[in-house]
Amino acid sequence: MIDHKNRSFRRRHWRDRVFRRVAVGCVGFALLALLTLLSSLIAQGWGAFVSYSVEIQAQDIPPNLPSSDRAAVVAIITSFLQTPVTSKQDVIRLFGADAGSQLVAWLKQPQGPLRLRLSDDADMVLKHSYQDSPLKPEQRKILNDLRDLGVVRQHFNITFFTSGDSREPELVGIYSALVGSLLTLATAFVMAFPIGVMTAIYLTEYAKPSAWRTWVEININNLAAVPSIVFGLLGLSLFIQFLGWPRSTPLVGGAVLALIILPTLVIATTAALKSVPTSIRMAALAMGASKTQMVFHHVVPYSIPGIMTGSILSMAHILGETAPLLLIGMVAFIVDVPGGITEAATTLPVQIFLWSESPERAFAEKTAGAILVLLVFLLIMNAVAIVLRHRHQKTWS
Amino acid sequence: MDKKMEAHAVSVFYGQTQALYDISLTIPARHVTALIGPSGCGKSTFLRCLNRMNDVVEDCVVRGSILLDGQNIYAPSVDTVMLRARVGMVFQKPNPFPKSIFDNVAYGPRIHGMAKTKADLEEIVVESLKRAGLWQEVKDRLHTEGTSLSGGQQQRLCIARSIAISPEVILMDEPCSALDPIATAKIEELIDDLKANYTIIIVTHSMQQAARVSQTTAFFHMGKMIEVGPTDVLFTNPKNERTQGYITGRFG
Ligand SMILES: Nc1ncnc2c1ncn2[C@@H]1O[C@H](COP(=O)(O)OP(=O)(O)OP(=O)(O)O)[C@@H](O)[C@H]1O
Ligand SMILES: [Mg+2]
Repeated sequence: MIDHKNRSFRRRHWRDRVFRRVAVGCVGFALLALLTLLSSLIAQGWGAFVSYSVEIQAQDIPPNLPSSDRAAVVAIITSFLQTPVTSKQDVIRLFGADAGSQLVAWLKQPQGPLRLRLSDDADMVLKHSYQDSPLKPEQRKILNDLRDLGVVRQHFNITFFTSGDSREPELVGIYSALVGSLLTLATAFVMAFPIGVMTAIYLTEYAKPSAWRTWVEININNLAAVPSIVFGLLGLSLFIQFLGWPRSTPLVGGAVLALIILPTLVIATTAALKSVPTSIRMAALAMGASKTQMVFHHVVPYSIPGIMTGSILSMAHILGETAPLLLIGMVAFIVDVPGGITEAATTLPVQIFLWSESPERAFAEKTAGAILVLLVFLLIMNAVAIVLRHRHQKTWS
Repeated sequence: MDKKMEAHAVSVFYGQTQALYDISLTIPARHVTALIGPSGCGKSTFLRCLNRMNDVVEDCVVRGSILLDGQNIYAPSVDTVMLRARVGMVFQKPNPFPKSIFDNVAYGPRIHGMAKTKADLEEIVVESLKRAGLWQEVKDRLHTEGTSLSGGQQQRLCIARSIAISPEVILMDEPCSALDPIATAKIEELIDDLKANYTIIIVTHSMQQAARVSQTTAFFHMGKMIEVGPTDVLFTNPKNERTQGYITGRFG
């Protein structure tokens, strides 16, 4: 008897240990995968946040500059170099497309040193010093000379966060895409939240159990499993072709994303409402509250943390959504910050998609950098959801 | 003695199964009536008939009539909201709202529009907490969560909450079953004080408690009311042998 118990005891312990090891192994694997992803993204994407400029003190700028801005840039640079430059084009090639306008702006208001942005090719050589650069040897020589002179400065690439898309990799930024994402998400939230929450309140609190209610609930669950691209097709034919809303805009994008999160929102809200125990409902009714008072004084307020968590998670879900937005034409080339939800816009993941298709080497780091920014936003949203859930977890007596 | 409530031939069905059979019982005013009986005999079911909480139970059908001050509470014209403002209820498990102590007690007066000003409301809350014997313990933390109190304090909070709307009748379904003897003693004392102003109906599994707090006791068994009478008579000299068996602990 004792022996038998001992044996079963040992077996149970053994199972316990095996299970624990498998679980730890799984968690370890997941962490490792995450770490690999993050470190490779950071390795590829750090360059997006760093850029190079040539910095020249005011007193070092020669007088009597030529009137053309490009020629002026060349004049300034050549005044520094020991060896004469054979072709002006070699100097121009090293500087960003906006170096001329940077000079013009500085000349108007000469404060601090003059900064001239380097071109993406020069930038790449400085960051990675790779051999198959499109820069010619003489161009690389000029760049090296400038570096030896100590006028090349590395700095935080603020442009990446303040400008929109561009043909020139050194000038691109995610700001337009971020604003587009914000407008699109806000539109989706405003459209989906009231409908989703009201639907859930009606279904869980008011609708009598019936075949009809079961049917609706099943279909909401089914909708949550529909691939998002299908919603993109629906949006294309419904909002753009039938209703005639302007394509490529946050209005249409938001409407499509609203359709995508609607079922998730209903499910999350339903779960939050159902977690309010019967005893609390009974307490409210026994105090003489009407059904609607019970729902809106008690059940809904106590569910708010759950509803918020669900909303934030669904926002995080659609922040990364790309395919349905491609279908409704949010792939436009957007330089300017969209001024409203009826103006053409792009979103962060679509911007990432667009850059990832660009052949220039400099776009690769921009792509990875934008992905990092997207991940940071997702992490923040998830963290907020977790904090909300913990902070406001109700204890029911 | 005035009659506060009267049940006439009340039968209750949960779907196909009948839980109560022809119960007729008179509840005297400003009096404690105890309902005793073995588990599942229908005490809670009967109690829920008295404030129509059975209305929210699915498939529950109540037949017969129950009068409150001579008026049938199951008449179509009766509003359950009004009824429950007059007939309050305290549940077996303390169930304070996850709000502050103050808001727990203030909830009823607020929804029934009983306080014109903030000062009025505060007075009602303080008065109710005092009557429930909780004031001394919570007066410095009225704005902490009601759920942070101990079990016995929570139950007294629930009593304070229900007396805040000045009901005429208070229904208590095993209010002490989750409490220790000291908390139980406090609540029994409270019931004793409350009976000067309120009519109280209490379900209990404890014979001693029924004997201590009630003046009238009704014994239920398998959905039927077997015997009712003054508490001292019912406990010392029961007429029915099933009552005798139950109170002497031979079954139940
Ligand atoms: N919501 C319900 N649905 C179906 N049947 C129910 C429901 N509530 C109670 N019953 C049944 O009605 C009968 C009486 O139940 P009730 O809860 O009134 O008993 P009780 O005397 O309060 O018991 P206890 O002392 O254990 O609380 C039981 O047989 C029970 O199974
Ligand atoms: Mg019961």
